[in-house]
Amino acid sequence: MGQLFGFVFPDERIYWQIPIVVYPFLTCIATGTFFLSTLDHLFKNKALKPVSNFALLASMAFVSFASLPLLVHLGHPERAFNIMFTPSIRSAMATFGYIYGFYLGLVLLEVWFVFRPQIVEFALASKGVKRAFYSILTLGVREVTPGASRIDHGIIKLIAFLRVPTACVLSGYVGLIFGTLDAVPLWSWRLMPLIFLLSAVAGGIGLITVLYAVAMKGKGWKLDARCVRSMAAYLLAFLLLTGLVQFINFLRSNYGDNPDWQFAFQTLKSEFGFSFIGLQLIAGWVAPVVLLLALLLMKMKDGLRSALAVTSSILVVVHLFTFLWNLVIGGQLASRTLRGSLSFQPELLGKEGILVSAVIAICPLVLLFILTKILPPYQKKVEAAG
Amino acid sequence: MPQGIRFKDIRHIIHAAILIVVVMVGFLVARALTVPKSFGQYGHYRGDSIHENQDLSVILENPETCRECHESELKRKPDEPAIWPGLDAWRKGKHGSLTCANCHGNLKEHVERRRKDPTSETFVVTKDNRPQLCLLCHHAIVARPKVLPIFDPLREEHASYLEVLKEEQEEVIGCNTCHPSYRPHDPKLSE
Amino acid sequence: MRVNRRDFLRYACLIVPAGVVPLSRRLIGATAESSAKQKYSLEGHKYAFIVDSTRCIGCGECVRSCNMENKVPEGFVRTWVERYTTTKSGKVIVDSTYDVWRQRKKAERFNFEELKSVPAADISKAFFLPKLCNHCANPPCVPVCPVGATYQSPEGVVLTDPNYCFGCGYCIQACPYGVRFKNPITHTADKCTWCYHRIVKGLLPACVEICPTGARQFGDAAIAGSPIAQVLESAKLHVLRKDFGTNPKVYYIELNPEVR
Ligand code: HEC
Ligand code: HEC
Ligand code: HEC
Ligand code: HEC
Repeated sequence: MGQLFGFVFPDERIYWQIPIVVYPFLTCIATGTFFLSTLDHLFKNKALKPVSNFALLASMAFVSFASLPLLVHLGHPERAFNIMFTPSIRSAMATFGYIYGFYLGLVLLEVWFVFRPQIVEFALASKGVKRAFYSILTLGVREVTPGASRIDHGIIKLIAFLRVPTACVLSGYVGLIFGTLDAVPLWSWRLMPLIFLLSAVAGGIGLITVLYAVAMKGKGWKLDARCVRSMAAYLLAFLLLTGLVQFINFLRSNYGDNPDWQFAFQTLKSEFGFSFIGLQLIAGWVAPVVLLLALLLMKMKDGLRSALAVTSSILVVVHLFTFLWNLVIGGQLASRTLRGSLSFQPELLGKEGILVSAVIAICPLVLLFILTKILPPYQKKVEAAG
Repeated sequence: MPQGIRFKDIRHIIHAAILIVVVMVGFLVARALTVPKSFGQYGHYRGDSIHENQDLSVILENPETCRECHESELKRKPDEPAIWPGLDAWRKGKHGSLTCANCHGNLKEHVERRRKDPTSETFVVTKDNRPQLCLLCHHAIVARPKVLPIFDPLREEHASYLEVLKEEQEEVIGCNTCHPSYRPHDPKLSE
Repeated sequence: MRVNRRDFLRYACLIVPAGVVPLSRRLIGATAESSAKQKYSLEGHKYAFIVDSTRCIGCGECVRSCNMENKVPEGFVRTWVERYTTTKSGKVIVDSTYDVWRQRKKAERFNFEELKSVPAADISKAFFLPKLCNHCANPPCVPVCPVGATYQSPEGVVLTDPNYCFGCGYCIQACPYGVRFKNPITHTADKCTWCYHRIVKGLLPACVEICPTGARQFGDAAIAGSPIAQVLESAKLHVLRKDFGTNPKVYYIELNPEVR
């Protein structure tokens, strides 16, 4: 274990380590990316058309892996299903289990309905193993009648409609897992779900912008300027909202009579000064806000604008990650004694080490890459646009 | 839907629905198979857990257990006073609020062995006699309440322990040469 | 005065000096044999734990006996003792049996040693304070458990179920007193159980049993007229972190404000 400063209770350790940072991170990204596909599928925001299906696949990739870090962290992963079998109603974590399952199901369904024409097409056109694979994905119905296609559209709309509250509740519940713990002053706020939701959407849009740029670069295609601009606008809006809610949280705690919070905040600032002030606040929030304002308000070439948008998107993802890092690990630094603190030295190997978490964090990207190979999300659209 | 829906149009939906139902039934079956029978017996937890917690083995013996065999004093030699005064006499002494385990370590083994074989010559009881043990409780350190008799290293009789306090030195006379373990209040000197 | 106090320690169960809280060391130990023979009923108990910090001498025997009784893994404890030392300038220095353990690397005994950082002349006040699970009537750790692996037994003792817990650590975070830990051997949440396996057999918790001064008291307040019931009724008792609304069932006689 790490070093101690001052007096801490004998059993106090940093029990929630990097996997518990990665877990809300993946969940947040998964719920954040939903937002883009929802805008297209539900509100017919044409500007976002090029990324909407891509965002949907990204959402699926991230939500599929969101629970893996939790499993890694558990002392007895083989008992993980207890959380679904005997959920305790008053536990935010148990509720999360169900909402997570429901959300995963919705995303899978939506992907299936959206990509069904393509799946059927591939199943008919390909041969051998590939044919068998796509045939399984068709669930045995290898045609898309015009009537079916019309019904599917309705269903996609319905699912997208259901997905909005589910996604909100999902990332909200991650927030609630922390927000209901009064014993940890930096976590305890019943409105923590709101912060999580807003940061999640911002982070999700940010990540999609980055991945979209990477994918386009890989294919040698140009970025859709209107789409990038539109995403940048949403990014800015959610970034500002996040900042506002965080600031309200700060005001409420800092000027309330809350010695526990004061102490925990001091500890956070002194122990995690760089990642809190440097990364989360300045690099992760102030910088992207300035960049986004610039690219939205000033006249500039599309190339430069895209570059700025991608840069600020990267920074926003950094913001989301450091926010979770400082919240989850930073929140545990201050001792409940208010007389000392624990210091965090991440280990490299080991179950809860950096390596395992890094691999887990990369898994969704790999899955996304595979998914885009199985179900190409942008091909047609770009052709149509070009 | 305005124009009638044909079966062909919703076949894939039916297939998907069947898949969902299969998954759900699978979940319910798995749940029925794995959730322990006693879950919910007393509340939202495994009822058996209460009994498992109750059945953990007791290790620290209560002095009442010793009554079974050490109720009365144990005279080794007829002419010398007994070291062990008997349970009730010990209770009335100044160390009566202590427990046998303070100085005799883990006694479970002793009790179990003695119950089987009362006459064996091999003893397994530790009889901690080191001054360090007494100082555990009697050393004058910060925060000790005033009610506690404190070991005063400056007292003439205690002079030989000044070294013990400084470093871990084993070869010294036990405190019980003057303060018998069961009658610490009458130093043998005064007898 | 000194003699009075000391005699009080000894005879507390027999004589009740005027104005002094009647406390006897062996509150249910005396009935150990008789009650062990009857079948234990889960109903009709109201256990309470009373800590008299003015009597704690910091010998650390409670920690040792608890570790022995409950096979607590090295480096963790289910109960511990803290020492609060206030200097003349008002600074509060706290150390605990955990610091003793860390200094000795592997400790068999947990008795405190002289506080080296402050000269004795600078100290204005100092006392020991035993800590353990508060077995709150309104425990924050129980509702957060996602699977029902920690619970309040019908008697109100907060227990864990190492055979069902999956080790998420949520309950550990929820405890404002820091008494829970993740057992590195079973990989599940672990905590003080008030020696549930002992009290159902009519014995005292190991730490109460071994305490040489009666700083730790335990009993069933549901037995009318039992010493613990009298204390609960008559004495002015304090609990830790009242602001959390947890309603602890571990009561402190004299609790200084610097204690958290
Ligand atoms: C089943 C009977 C039995 C019980 C119960 C029992 N003892 Fe003994 N104990 C014995 C016998 C027999 C001896 C040997 C006496 C002798 O040396 O003559 C003994 C000897 C001892 C000795 C002296 C060992 C030595 O090396 O001289 C100690 C100390 C002792 N017992 C402590 C205890 C304590 C404390 C308890 C209560 C937890 C206890 N015993 C319970 C039977 C028992
Ligand atoms: C303060 C420490 C201490 C405590 C508490 C203590 N003992 Fe002992 N006991 C000793 C020591 C030391 C000896 C070795 C004899 C001596 O004093 O030289 C001993 C010896 C004995 C003997 C053997 C006497 C003999 O003639 O050899 C018995 C029996 C015994 N203890 C029983 C008990 C029982 C029963 C308890 C609990 C009720 C108890 N003791 C509590 C320190 C202690
Ligand atoms: C577990 C703690 C503990 C240990 C170990 C212990 N004692 Fe004590 N001792 C006490 C307590 C508590 C008292 C005060 C009892 C009272 O005043 O009722 C006491 C009282 C005394 C007294 C004062 C009696 C009087 O005149 O009032 C002496 C002398 C003494 N012990 C000597 C010893 C010696 C010698 C040893 C080592 C064999 C020893 N103690 C081991 C706790 C302990
Ligand atoms: C050479 C004999 C001798 C030895 C050895 C000895 N003492 Fe003493 N001790 C005495 C005498 C004499 C007194 C004074 C008794 C009195 O005032 O009633 C005393 C007093 C005490 C007192 C204070 C009792 C009170 O009533 O306040 C304590 C505590 C004590 N001793 C502990 C110890 C410890 C612990 C050791 C072992 C490290 C020890 N003694 C070794 C002779 C001895």
